Parts: sequence; C-alpha cells; structure tokens
Amino acid sequence: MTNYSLGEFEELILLVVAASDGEAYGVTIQENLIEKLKKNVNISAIHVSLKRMEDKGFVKSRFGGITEERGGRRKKFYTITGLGKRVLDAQYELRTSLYKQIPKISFGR
Amino acid sequence: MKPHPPHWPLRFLRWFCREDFIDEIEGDLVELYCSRYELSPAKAKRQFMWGVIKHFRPEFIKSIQFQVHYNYKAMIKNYFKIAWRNLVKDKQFSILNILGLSAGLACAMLIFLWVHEESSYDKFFSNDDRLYQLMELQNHHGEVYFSEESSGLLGDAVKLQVSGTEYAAAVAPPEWFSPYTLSVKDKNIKASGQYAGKDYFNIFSFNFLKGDKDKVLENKNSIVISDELAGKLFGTTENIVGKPVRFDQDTTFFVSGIFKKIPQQSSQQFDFVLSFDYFKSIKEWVTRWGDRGPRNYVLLDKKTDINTFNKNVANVITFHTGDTLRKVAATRFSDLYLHNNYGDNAGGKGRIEYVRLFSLLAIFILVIACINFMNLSTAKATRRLKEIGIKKVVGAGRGQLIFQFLVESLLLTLIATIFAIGIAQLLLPAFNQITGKKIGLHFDTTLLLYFIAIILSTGLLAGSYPALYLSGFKPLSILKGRFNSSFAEIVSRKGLVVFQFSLSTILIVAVIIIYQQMHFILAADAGYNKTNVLRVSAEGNIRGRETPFIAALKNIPGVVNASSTFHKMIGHGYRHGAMEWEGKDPNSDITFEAFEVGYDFIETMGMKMQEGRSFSKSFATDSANIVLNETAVKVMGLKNPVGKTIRRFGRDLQVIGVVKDFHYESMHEPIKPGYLFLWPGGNIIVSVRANNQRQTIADIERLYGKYNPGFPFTFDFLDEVYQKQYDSETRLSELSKYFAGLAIIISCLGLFGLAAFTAQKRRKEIGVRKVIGASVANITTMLSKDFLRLIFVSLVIAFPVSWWLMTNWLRSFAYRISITPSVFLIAGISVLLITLITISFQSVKAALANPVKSLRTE
Repeated sequence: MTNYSLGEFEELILLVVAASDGEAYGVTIQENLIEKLKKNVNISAIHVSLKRMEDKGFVKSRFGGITEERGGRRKKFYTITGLGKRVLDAQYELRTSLYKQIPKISFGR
Repeated sequence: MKPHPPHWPLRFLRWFCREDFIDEIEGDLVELYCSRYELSPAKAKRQFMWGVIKHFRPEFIKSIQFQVHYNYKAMIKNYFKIAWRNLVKDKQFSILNILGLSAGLACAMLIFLWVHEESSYDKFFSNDDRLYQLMELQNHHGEVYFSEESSGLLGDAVKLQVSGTEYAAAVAPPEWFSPYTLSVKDKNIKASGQYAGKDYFNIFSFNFLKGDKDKVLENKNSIVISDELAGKLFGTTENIVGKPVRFDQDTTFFVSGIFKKIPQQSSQQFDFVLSFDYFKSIKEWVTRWGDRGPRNYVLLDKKTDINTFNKNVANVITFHTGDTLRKVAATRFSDLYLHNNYGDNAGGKGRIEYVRLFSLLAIFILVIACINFMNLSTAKATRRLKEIGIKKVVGAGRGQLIFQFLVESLLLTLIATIFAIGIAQLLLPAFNQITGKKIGLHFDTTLLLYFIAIILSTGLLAGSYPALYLSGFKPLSILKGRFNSSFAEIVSRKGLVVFQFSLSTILIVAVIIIYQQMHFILAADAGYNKTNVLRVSAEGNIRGRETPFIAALKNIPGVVNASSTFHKMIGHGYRHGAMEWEGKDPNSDITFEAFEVGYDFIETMGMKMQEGRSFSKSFATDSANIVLNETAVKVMGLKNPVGKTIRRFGRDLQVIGVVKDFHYESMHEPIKPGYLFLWPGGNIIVSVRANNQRQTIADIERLYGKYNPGFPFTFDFLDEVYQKQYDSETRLSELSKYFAGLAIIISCLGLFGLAAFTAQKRRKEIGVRKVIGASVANITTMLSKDFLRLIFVSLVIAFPVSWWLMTNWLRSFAYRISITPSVFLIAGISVLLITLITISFQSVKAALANPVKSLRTE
C-alpha cells in the first residue's frame, strides 16, 4: 500500500479528524493535538498535512459560514473519507498484530 | 473591540497565498491571534508573523501567470482611442505640440547623426583594438606633453627590440607635402601622397585590391595607388601592376599595388603611398634620432597587453640616444581622432569638445521641446478633469491612469518622430554643407536602436510630469467642480517656462558673442595683406630658379609684387632656440620662429616696418642681415635694436630692421618671437591687383607652364587659407545660429499655446471686465504682464550663466573681444520682443472678443 502511505503526524491528525466527526478545522485540531501530545504544534504543519491527505483522498473538506472572530474568513471543516478510515484501520491492525507478538516477559527498568 | 492582526504580514499573506487556501489559512491564523492576544499582544503578533512566514511554501503560493489582466488588450485599445480623440478634438494644441516636438527631435537627430559620424572615425580597421600610435614625450618650455612627432627610426627599432610588436611602420604624413604631380604618358594628375614603412598596409587594414600587401612597399621604387587615382592615370585598374608612373616629372616609380579609395571615415587621407626607405634616401634627417617629425604606428600581436607593452617601449629612444627625457608611449590610434589636441588642432581642445558641446545642445533643445509638451498637457488638464474623475470613480488605479497618459505622450512622440525624420531628411544637405560632412540617413540596427531610445526617452520625459500630475487628482473634488490650480502647479509651470527661456537666452547670447568673435578674427588686421595674395608652390624646374621666375612674374601687368618664402605663413613652421645676443639672460631659452624669405617679401605681403629697413638688393651684405618682429625685440629686451648683432648657429647676423607684429598662427595663439632672413626658395608669393584677376592668373599660369611643362598649375589665395584655420569655429558659429533660432521658436510655440490657454480660461473674466469698461489695451497688458514677468526672470538667470560660459570659450583665444553689456541688451530686447509678439497675438485676440459671446452662456 505504498500509495496510501500515512506518516506519523498525518496519522495523528487523521485520528483527530475522525474523532471530531466532521467538526474539525485547523484551530481545533491544533488544540486537540497540543492537549494530547503536551507539546507545541505549528498550525502551518497541520495545514500542510491536511492538504496532502486531501490530495491523497483520506479526508474531504467543506466550508462553513463566515464568522466575525476569523476576520471575515470561512472555516474549512474536514471529515474522514472511507478510504481514510480503511487506511487508519489497516495501520491500527498492523500495529496491534505486531504488538501482540511481543513475548510476555518482564522488561527490566 | 476586536484586535486587528499586524498589517504587513497579513498583506504579504494575501499577496502570495492561493485563493483556495486563503480562507482556511488566514482564518485560522486570525482566530489563533485573537485568542493569544488576550494573553500577550506582543507574543501574539510575533507568532502571527511567524505563522505567515511558515506558510510561505510552494503548496500555498499562487502560480505567477495567474495575474494577467483579462481585459488588457481592450484597455490598450481604449487608451489609443482616447488619445487619438483628444488629439483630434483640440487641433491647435496638438499641432503646437507636434510641431515643437518634431522640430526638437529633428534637430536632436541631426546632431546625433553628426556625433555618430564623428565617433565612428578610424574605427573601421579590422584590428582596431591592437592598433597603436607611438607618441613621444616632449618638453616645450617646461610644458610636458605627448606628441606624435618622433624619429623616423623609432618604428623599426621598436619592432626589433620590443616583444609583442607584430608590425611597425614610420610614416611621413601627406600634410607635409603639397600635392605631387603624377604622370602617365601625357596625363598629369595632382595627387596627395605619403611615405610609409613596409608594414603599413599590414597595420592599417585598408581595402587592398591588387598586389601583395606584405611586399608592396618593399622596393624603393614602388608606388601604391588608390583605385580612384588609377582610374585617373590609367583609365583602368586592370593590368597596371608593374607599370611606370613619373613622379614630379623627374623620378619614375612602378605600381606595386592598388588599394580602394580611402573611406571618408579615415583621418588619414591620401591617394598614393611611396616607400619610407625611399624617403630616407632623399631626406637624410629622418635617419637621425635627434630630428623629430615622422609618425610611427605599431600593431601589437594578439597576446600582448598594452600596459606591458608601454612599460617595454618607454625607454627605446633613451636606449639609442642616452637622452633620459625622451620617453615613448603607445596610444590607441582610433582614440586620437577625437582626443588629439596637438598638431593641426593645437589651438583647439580636440574634436571631443565639439562633440560634447553639440550633444549637450541636442539635449537642451529636446528638453525645451519636452517642456512645451509638459506645459501644454498640464494646462490642458483642466479640460480632461471629468474624464479622469469618472475613470477614478469607476475604479481605475493611479497606475492605470499614468500608463494611459504615457501611452498618449508616446503616441504623440511617435507622430512627431515621423515628421522629424522628414524634416531631418530635408535639412540634411544644408547640414552637411555647414559641417563639411557627407552624412546620409541610413537606418542600420544601431542607429535604429538609438532612435528608438531617443523616442522612448523623449516620450517618457515629456509624458511623465503630466501623467503623474493628472493622475493624482482627487475624484471627489474634480466631480464637484471645486478644482483650483494648486500653488505648486502654478509654480512648476512657471518654473518650466523660466527654464525654457533661460536656455534660449543663453543660446542667443552665445550666438552673438561667437559671431562677434569670429567677425573680430576674420576682419582683424593680421599685420599683412591677406586679400589678393596668391601662394604658388614652386616645384619641378622652378625649384632652384626662383629668382628668374619671380623676376618674370613681376613683368606680368596685373602683378603688384612677388617673392618667396619657405614658411607656410598660416600656422607655425620651423622654430628654434640657441640664439645669442648682447645682454641675453643666460638662463632664458627663447625659441624663435624662422622665416626664410626672398627679396621684396615684406613689401609683397604688405607688412609694415616698425623701424629700420627691409631686405634690399642694393645692399650686397643683406644675406648676413636679419629682421626681427616686434615681439622678438620685446622679449629679447633690446633697446635700439637696429645695428645690434645676433649670433645664430655660430654666425653673426646684424639687425637691420624691425617688422610690425603679424599673425602667422591662428588667433588662439599669442604672437611669438620671430625673425626674417634671406634664403631664396620655397613657395612663391604673388600679390595681384584686385581688378582683372582672372587675366592675371591666366598669365601666371602660362608663365608657370613655360617653366614647368607637364605640371598642373595650383595656387591658393592667402585669405582662403587664413579662413580655413577657423573652420571649426565657423561651423560652430553657423550651427549655433540655427540652434538658437530653433530653441527660441520652440519656446515661443509653447508660450503661444500657454497664452492661448490662459486667455481661454479667463474668458468670462475678460468679458466682465469689458462690460464694466476696460479697454482693449487694459486687457492686453493684463494678460501679457504675467508672461513678461517670467521672461524677465529668465533673463536675470540667463545673463550671468551665459557670461560665464562665453568667457570660458573666449579664453581659448589669445586675441579676443571683451564681452560688452550691449550683447546682453541686444539679446534681452530681442527675446522680449519675440515673446511680446507671441503673447500679444493671443492677448489682443482675447481682448477684442465680444463679451456677449463669453457671457451669454453659463
């Protein structure tokens, strides 16, 4: 599945988008990530990743209404596509199957 | 209140960001900014800026071609349409504009052609970049300068000794010799020739038709002739190599090669070349290091750097003579035509001065013409205010309006150029006659490029001011009709008029002063009689038999007197120092101009004796006597000079008289000490009666033919030669006359338009004044006063400037007029008169108009 490659940061954003159920846009995604990761994430990195994933067909977008707080600019909401969901599932499966192969021995500190 | 994000980063973002992303990116950034702003405004600003910069990446940047206007073509079309309509609508303005501009352009074109021609001299040689002339450092009374005169041995020595010399040749230039007589069978042709070393045609890549240019000058009895001369002598250029040509009826040379007639753009002009080796064999002095005269040219090989070459060549003469003062340096040959300021140009400053002067003139006149355009356009602006206002309201940006007005001025310039080319073509013959050139209007690429550059710069210069000025109006005030000419506008328009008229006045003053100076020079008493004096070169059989020839001349009825001299009389000749006399300051080194003359010389030339007597046959000892000129007596500090003894080259000579000073050089030079002594030979000088001259000259020719069968008879009048020394000044005087006329005409065209405009603008005011009872005279004065004030200001500016300029020019003359106030009076009155006529035409017209017509409608 080389065409459907998903980077680590992209995967995180895709998870946030999937979890937000169609109400995710730049600023909320950033807030979510900062909250979860406990580190600063630049908004431009998020915009770039979103654009790439949209090009790859993992997410799709729609424009919201004009709001005052955004200087007259519209919000761009993202939703995950079927393809995006499948890629996410595949990734998740791969990870868990690999995880399960870890022998049950105790790891020293 | 909502905080506003920093202005510049936002503008930058909007500028580069793609349309389909701007909403998301700007929106997110602004939202973040607002939420951060509450915590720390400074940090929020910083982060916003940083955010913008981080988005500046290929994914989000607009593609460049995206920005093209979709109605671009239509707008350009519209600009041309509007421009054309404006031209046609106001014909008087358009004609004035185009007339002024095309006159200015035509004049600039002519000057440009001339400058182009002057700067293309000597540049046609294929190896121009390696072609150098060897110059020798001269020390003349402590004045150190490089001269082209050097020893005839220098060229060959340099070729032998200095590495990097591909070819070298010494040349005895054609100016040294009066035309020679060449004969084939019974055809006798006068032609000018020079003597040149055998590498000559390798150095100068003149077009060679026949013969091997490596060898044509190898033999002493070779002659290389031009195809034109070959045509005259043989009637053909075929099969004449090896044929004999008689030279001055006594020597025979054999044609070894033929070159194509020397092009006009060559500073060396000659019809044939003889070998320099032959010249050495007849003139022993050129084989000495001590005697200077011949020119030396070298062609460097391709690898040689001129600086290294100059280092190596500097001491060549020192090496041979031990004289450490005699340094040599090579100068690029093609630079000499413009920058040469010695030899025949000694008085002037080289042609580059005139090239610069005239270039400046061309620019001046063009600027005057451009100012016309600016003035008329801005004045006319009030009529286009509505157009500008509407355009601005509809959404035209300032840039678009500027562009529109520039298109208009370019269109006008283009039309003016077409007229200008026609005018230039018409004037070219007259222009050529004045400048003594053969310039044609041939459009090659360089010329075309230059012309396009002239047109573009003129159009932009003329259009820039109106464009900037008109586009800056505020639409609201225009459309409300509350438009008043601003103070700055009036000042700048008046400033332009003042500038224009100052330039014109300066030119007029210059013309008057140049004319006066030229008149002064040409009419000045040269100290001898220039008119009706002939100079005949003694050649062939007359040489050595001058005395009987002169005696026979005196028998011709129309001849007043005759004598001979080796001195050319116009220009300087042989000069030397080393004279001894009683009471001489041992430290002084005075050089004297030597005049070798025959009997009756002073009488023939009409010179006056200050004291003593002139040479006479009745005194047998006169060959050991000497006549000094006034300056010599003054410089030597002699009292009662007659009877004193002077030692010259180890021989005692007695002073028998003092001749009044006479000008043998141009008026640029002060008269220098000189002396006359008896030495028969040289050119024959004949003074003839004013009436029946044709018969007299025919008689002289017959006598000449008796002595010299087979020699064509040539002569010149002394006054013609005298005038020829001032050729460039005469040209300057002629041309500046026309230029000044043109400048004042163009300026007046502008003023005419401006006056018309003012009169029209004040139509209602004039009507009211007339109704109340103002007379025609009142109104005319009222309208003219403003303009006359401007002219006065220009005069005040122009007078000191022109005085300073012309004093500088006059300084190059040793004998000059002093600038009198009357010059300024004449210039001032004529400028005032001309402008008054120009303005009053419009003023009177306005004043005579029926007030009913202007007041009827509101």
